Amino acid sequence: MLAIVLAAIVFYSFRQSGAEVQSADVLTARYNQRLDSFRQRLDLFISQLESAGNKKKPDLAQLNQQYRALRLAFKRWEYLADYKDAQFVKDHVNGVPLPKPERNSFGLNTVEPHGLQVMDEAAAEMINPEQRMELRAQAKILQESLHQYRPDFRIYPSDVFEASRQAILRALSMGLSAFDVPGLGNSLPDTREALHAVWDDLKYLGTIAPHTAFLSMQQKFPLALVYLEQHNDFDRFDRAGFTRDYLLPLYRLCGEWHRASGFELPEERRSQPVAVNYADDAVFSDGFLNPYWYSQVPAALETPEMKELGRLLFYDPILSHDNQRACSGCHAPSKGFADGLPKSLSGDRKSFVQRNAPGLLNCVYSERFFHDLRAESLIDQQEHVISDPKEFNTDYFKIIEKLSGSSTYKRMFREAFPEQGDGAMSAQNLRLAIAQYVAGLRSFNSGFDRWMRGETEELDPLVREGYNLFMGKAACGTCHFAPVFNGTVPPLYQETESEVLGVPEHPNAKPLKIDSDPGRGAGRLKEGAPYYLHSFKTPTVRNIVATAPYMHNGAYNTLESVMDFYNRGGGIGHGLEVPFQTLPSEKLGLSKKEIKAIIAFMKTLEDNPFTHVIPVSLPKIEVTPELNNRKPGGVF
Amino acid sequence: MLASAALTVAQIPFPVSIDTAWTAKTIWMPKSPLKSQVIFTGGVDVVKTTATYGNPAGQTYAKQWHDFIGFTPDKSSSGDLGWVSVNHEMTQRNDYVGDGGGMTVFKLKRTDGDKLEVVEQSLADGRKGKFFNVDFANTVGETGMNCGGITDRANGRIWTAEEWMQTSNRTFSNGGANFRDTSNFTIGVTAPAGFPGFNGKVIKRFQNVNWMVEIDPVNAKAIRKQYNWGRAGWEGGVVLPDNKTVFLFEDGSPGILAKFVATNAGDFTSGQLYVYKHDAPSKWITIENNLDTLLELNTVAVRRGASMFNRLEWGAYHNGKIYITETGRDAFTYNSGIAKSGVISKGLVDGYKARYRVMTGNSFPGTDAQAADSVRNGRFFDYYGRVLEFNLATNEVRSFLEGGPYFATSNSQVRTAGYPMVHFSNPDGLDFMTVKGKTYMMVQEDLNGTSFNRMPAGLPITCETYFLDMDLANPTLADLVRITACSPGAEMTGAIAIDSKTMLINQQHPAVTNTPPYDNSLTYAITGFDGTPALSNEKFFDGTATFTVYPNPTARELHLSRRMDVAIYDALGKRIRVERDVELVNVSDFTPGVYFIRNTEGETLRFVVE
Repeated sequence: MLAIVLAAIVFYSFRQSGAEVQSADVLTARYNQRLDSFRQRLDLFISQLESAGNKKKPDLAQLNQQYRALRLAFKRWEYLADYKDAQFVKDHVNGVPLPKPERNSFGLNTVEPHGLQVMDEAAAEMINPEQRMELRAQAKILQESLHQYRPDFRIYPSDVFEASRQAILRALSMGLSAFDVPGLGNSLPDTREALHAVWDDLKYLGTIAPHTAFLSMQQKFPLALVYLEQHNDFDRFDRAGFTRDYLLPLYRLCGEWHRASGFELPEERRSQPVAVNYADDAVFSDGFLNPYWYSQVPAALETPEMKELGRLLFYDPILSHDNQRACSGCHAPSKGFADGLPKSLSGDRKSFVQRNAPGLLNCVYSERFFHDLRAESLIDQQEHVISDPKEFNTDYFKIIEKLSGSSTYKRMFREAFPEQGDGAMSAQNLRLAIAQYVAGLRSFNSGFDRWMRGETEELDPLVREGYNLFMGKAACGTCHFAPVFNGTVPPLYQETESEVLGVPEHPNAKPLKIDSDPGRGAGRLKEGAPYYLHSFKTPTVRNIVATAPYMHNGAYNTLESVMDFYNRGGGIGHGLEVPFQTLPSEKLGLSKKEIKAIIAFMKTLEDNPFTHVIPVSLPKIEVTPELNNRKPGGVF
Repeated sequence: MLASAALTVAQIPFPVSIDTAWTAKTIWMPKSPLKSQVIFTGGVDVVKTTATYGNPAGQTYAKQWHDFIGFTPDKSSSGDLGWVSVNHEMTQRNDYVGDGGGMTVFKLKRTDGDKLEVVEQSLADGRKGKFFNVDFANTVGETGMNCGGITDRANGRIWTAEEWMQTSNRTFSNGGANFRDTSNFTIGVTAPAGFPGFNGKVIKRFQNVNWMVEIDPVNAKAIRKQYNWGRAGWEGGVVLPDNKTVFLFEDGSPGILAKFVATNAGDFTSGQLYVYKHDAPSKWITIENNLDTLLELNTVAVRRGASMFNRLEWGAYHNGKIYITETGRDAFTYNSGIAKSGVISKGLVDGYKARYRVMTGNSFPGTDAQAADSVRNGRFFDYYGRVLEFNLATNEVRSFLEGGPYFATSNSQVRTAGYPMVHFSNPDGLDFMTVKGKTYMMVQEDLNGTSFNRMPAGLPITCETYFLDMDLANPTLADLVRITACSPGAEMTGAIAIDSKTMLINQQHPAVTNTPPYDNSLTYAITGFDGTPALSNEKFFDGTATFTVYPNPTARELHLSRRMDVAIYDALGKRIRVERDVELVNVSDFTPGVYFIRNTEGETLRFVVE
């Protein structure tokens, strides 16, 4: 076998000095040509809309055809455009059709959405003259942005490799789920076109840097494109099979080829790390994303001493003012690191805190923390719990004072932060140790992950159907992005989203009332916008069985009731007034069997290897012996 | 498989490893003459607090989100430099230092070897320690989002500015998470805060923010909110050498430029406020000293036809002129609401015409009034911003240095000269520093985004600090000298020169790559400007075919003799970096040691980072 592999490696004598420069010329020219043809398609579409005017019976077939051609032209340009200048594409071309606060502004200024996704909503109703007017107005805004856009960069082979992998991730998580076609709904032709452009460029690289991985891609890539051509039924598309059989192998091969090609790797071109671990070839795996990018705790600090310190602190009620409550009180290992309550019990043991305790497994893969997204990192979020009068009701100073009475803790801090000596016991290091422990609560070994990685052939057909629905007809995957199935947005996985669902206060109340919690609208001063009222972070659905009840207020006890809420169109579908609901308000039209399949899929995402980690005892506090009665995990 | 990998390597222009045995010409990159030293870390350093909200005086961790830095010279003891005041641009409830934002003050001295040290101090109110929070809660009322401010260079007086306009007690308080007290506020109940005519007046609590606020850094307490300068989204200001005139800059869009002239030098509690209107005969609109007017200064001024700017930030005085940053915005139009009454400032007209010239290849054919109409109607996508120059003799404003570069063509195969090395956008901090008799403008970016070439494609946001030689008659972007020591990836704010050796600068947001405790907000000093070779931006780029490299130790850059692709190898010959289509290589994050640099022709040079 090895001999065959070696024999298959063919190298052309290539590259006198200018050959590589030439390849950049070719690739840059392709990029330019795609941008030009996108602009031309847009100009043409605008002139068609103008000639259709407000005619009662315009040539709808032709308009639709022109619109399709415009989208395909965009999709051919998109993969390199988004790789080189994601912000331009998001701000001006293909951002989500929702208002948002202006970035880095002097006050709360709203940026209204523009671009293809806004156009798509109007395009779905092109028969309506008013919608055609709106479409034209939006198209002209896009035209102006593209006119002003004068990018100054060249495309190199290494760009194509990395951008291709991003394109595969985009196809897997967004392309197959109709993320960016809110109006028309079928994204499969778009996805095919985007991958087609990728393959065109990879084929060109194949002529200058051939490799066995490329030869394997030559087998697989055309078949993937043919598959997409032959399977155009959005509701019935086998996403699980297509992802496992085509996209994941192509992702791996593309990485293998890049590394073998000698063309520079991403880390040789930039000094700042990114969230996606380029060196890792498996997507449904713990190695896919870089946890240190999210936790901001340096990987070098992850020593056994640091882990043990973080673990003890997580279960030690000494962190609370009355030495009774530990982090694990509301984040219990046996309950997926949640607590099974709609809202957690307050320190006074009578009232409840504001919201439902989220599970912590895989919570690290997030740019922001809390349901209202108010905290920046796992390091920063702790202070909110520590100072909240309903939670730990104390401050770092008092905690460090108590810990200083323990020789064991002193030693453990010194061992975890050896360079800092006696200064090691500090609030800063306490935050780091706990953040590091929580960041370590990761699991990517569910049955579904193993099937996706090809480690097992066993998968219940019902689960497979469930994934296909989750990522397709049921539209779950347009907010719970694969592979973490949380709100961290692909293909960069560096930004966390929140959504307005319109969750009621009590699902059975009559009349039904929207939960009054303002959510993100009152999280950060700079995000106090009306469209963020009742907006909440999108959590992962991994290990969801363990973390009932659901939603920010724990309003739903079962996955069936959650699915029913979504299937009926969220708050609006239930007759509530939710002016900025981001969930489609139309009914999803899922049958009972389909709901059963989706739940079966979510149930396979079960993987909690951390159920036996509660320490048996806690360090002695010599200076304050009465503290030595405290129980690991605290008393609730 | 190893053998095949090696085969691939041998055939590409930048093999993944090279043979280093070959002796090549060696270039030395001397140590940077600049040294940085961390002085004050938010969330880690401890501030001494006063008795607040019923809690006794004590201590707690300093707030974060450092922004403006004020400096008050005080050489009362040997080696002492003076008091540093640092803004905290945030709003958060805090039982000990007070709600909202705030400030921290400390005294610096310089010891042997140009080291800086924070000096232990005893304050009049009994506090002892190194860092002190400025007491606002018990004096003039809490402050919020302390962003910019004013250092009165002649007298060391300090004002802090409260950005982020508040419009209701509900959003201001945010359920008590930002500010616990939403009761009405009575002006002048604490001496000496207050003004003749305003004392005893009652305002809503949220109306007691968004003022310029004077503090006493030496006693770590606030003096007064400057009600007579008006309530607006103030960001910066300048006290003129006459000690009577104060210029004020509003971070708004439309933002206004205001001027206060004191009746008596040094006493800013009485005088006359004006707002700039470049098309009025006198150039200024007189604002009456009436609290209702002052509470709504921006609205009143624009309704009366004030000149409208696009987010003014910081400024400083130099040689009869004031230089002000106008940071720009990703989207704006002055075509609606009260902005219809204002006039488009000359800086925006200059900016629009400059962009028109580059993007179309022709000069703007119309009048300035027509250019102003284009700006008003949203035809100017002012994503770069500029530095403005205000001439005190003529009361005229103009664009001094336009951000950029704009590109004439889209997707040209022919690269734009200088880009991506030359790029300057969204200027924010501004100060002057005199080194060896030469005065430089120090200007810092605060990027609103990375698109439209504000960052070279694919690179993360990096807000750079530049020096500009003020002797140059008509400076262009190519004259900006990048000081890499100030730009490790995070947002840098507050740069201020404390003398000809040292500047202080803040890192506001932690950078992901920083190791603890440097993943917090930091104030640090960069020392050694007096030891730098002239801060010029000499271009070694001569376009010749010879492969030559010139080090710039201050900027930590290797300049190349022409635009090219290069790869860098470590001492063992392992490829560690590939730079495409560049005229220089930034080596600021290289550890000292031996490296090799190679071009696509395979020519290799050895360089040593000291």
